[in-house]
Amino acid sequence: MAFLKYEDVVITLGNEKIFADTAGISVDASVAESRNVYGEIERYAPTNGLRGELSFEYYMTGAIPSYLNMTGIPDTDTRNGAFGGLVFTDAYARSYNLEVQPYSPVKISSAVDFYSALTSSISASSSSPTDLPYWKNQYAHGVRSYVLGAPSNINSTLSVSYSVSAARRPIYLAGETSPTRVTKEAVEINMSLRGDNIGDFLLVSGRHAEITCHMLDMNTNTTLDKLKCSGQITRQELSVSPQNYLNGVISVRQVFQ
Amino acid sequence: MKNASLPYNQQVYVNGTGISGIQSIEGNYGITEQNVNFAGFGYVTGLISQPMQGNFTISRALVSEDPFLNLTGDGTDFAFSGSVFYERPNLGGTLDNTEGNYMSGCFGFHSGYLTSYNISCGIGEVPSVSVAISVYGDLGPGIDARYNKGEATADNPAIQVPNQGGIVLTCDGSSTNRITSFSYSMELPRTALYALPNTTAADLTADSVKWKMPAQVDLSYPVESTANFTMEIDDYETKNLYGALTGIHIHNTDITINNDSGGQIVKFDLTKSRLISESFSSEVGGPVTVNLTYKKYSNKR
Repeated sequence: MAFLKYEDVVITLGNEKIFADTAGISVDASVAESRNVYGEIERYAPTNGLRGELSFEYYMTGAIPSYLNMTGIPDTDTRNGAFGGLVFTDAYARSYNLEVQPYSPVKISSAVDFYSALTSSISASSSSPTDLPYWKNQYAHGVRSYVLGAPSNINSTLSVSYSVSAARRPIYLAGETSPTRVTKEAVEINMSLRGDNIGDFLLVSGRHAEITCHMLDMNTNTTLDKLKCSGQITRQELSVSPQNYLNGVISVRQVFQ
Repeated sequence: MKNASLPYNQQVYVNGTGISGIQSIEGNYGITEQNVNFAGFGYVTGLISQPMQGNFTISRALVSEDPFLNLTGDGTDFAFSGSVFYERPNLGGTLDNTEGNYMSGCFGFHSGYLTSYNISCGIGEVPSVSVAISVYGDLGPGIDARYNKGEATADNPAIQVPNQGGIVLTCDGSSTNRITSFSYSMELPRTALYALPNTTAADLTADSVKWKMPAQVDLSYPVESTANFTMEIDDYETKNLYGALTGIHIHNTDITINNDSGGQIVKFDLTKSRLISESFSSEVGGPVTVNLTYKKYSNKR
């Protein structure tokens, strides 16, 4: 079989199959040309280890999975994974973001870095979600999800954006091509609310906000997760356009580490 | 036995008022779904991905004051409900739908907004009205739009059939040329703004409808009104096409429909409307006619 179909490509991270809607994987080798004194290229030499990225979008079918947890687990937590039969190791979550809008299902865009080569070979496989023990058939949806903690003069919230990101830096020992450790730095949560107002006016030091977005299953009213951002409002904006409404946006930033 | 629900035993109500002269009524809704697919498996389910809205269209003969004309405005005060009751022959074949005795079928809507209004008439006809309604609330069976749910007698409008002499039309050349038909339409596009629920989980559990409905429904301005007159020519002369380059022709047009005793049923004022098209036609066996189309745009204020 020359080309695998969408239905034949299973993505795994740690022990969990990812219910990905779309996914991609890439690996970059950092190489630079080495020149001799005459300016001629002698060879290409690595300047850093391999760095790969697994990116995927999936419908939020439960709590944020542990493999994307960047705020509650140590930076040594690492996972292996597979993508369509190709295997990688030393994977670390780098970012995820989502947007909650009225009457829309919630989709999460995630990125995971890995610091290994791809091994094995592409092969067809399949996995029925209903056969998996962690399958719940629940979907976070904007028709029920709601926000608590928005500034009091924002009466209607039109959408919420939420993102968590971390910078990853691999540490290599001399003579090693795999990192001995990958640090987790600059972890921060950003949340922005679009609504009919912008809250109290900003001070020079920002303004504190504690906002929680309760992610609810669209059918059963079950809370799947609570996405919190407790930090400073760093930006307020207002905009208007023809045939449209005055919209206000507030952006809240919480630094974790 | 399989029977049929026939139109002679049906009633239509809008905002508590029984409507006479209904020629047709049609209601529908559609749900937009987004397919959920998983890599390594394929299609799993569909999730609602657009606000749930419905549409109704009603056409009627203008045989009384038109209740829809009071519903062309902006804001929640102009939201209305409606329902059609129809007999269900196997359940007694009556329209009795009082509490505990639901014999008739009912198909209706909550929170509807008028999105277009059309009226037209030709010589020898009763004016006909058709309206389009966007529904932002629930739609389907069991929605009772009768006055006090039918427990009290509604103050339904009296039947007033307009005759030809009671229709007064004014446009360019109307004093010396014969208008044989007219139509008038108002486009009333609505914008619904949906917000996330900001209520507590307890309210959501209560399955209240408030978080399913739009936070705001507004009229999108400008409102476009179009009047169209067909005239048999005596002394009317059309305008030059290139004449529009030196200024669109602006006229006051007016449509008034009175009942047989001279009382006004409806009136449409298109002061300073813009002549945007003319068509000239002549054929064997008929007089020369022109068709004039005027438009007027109205802002919020």
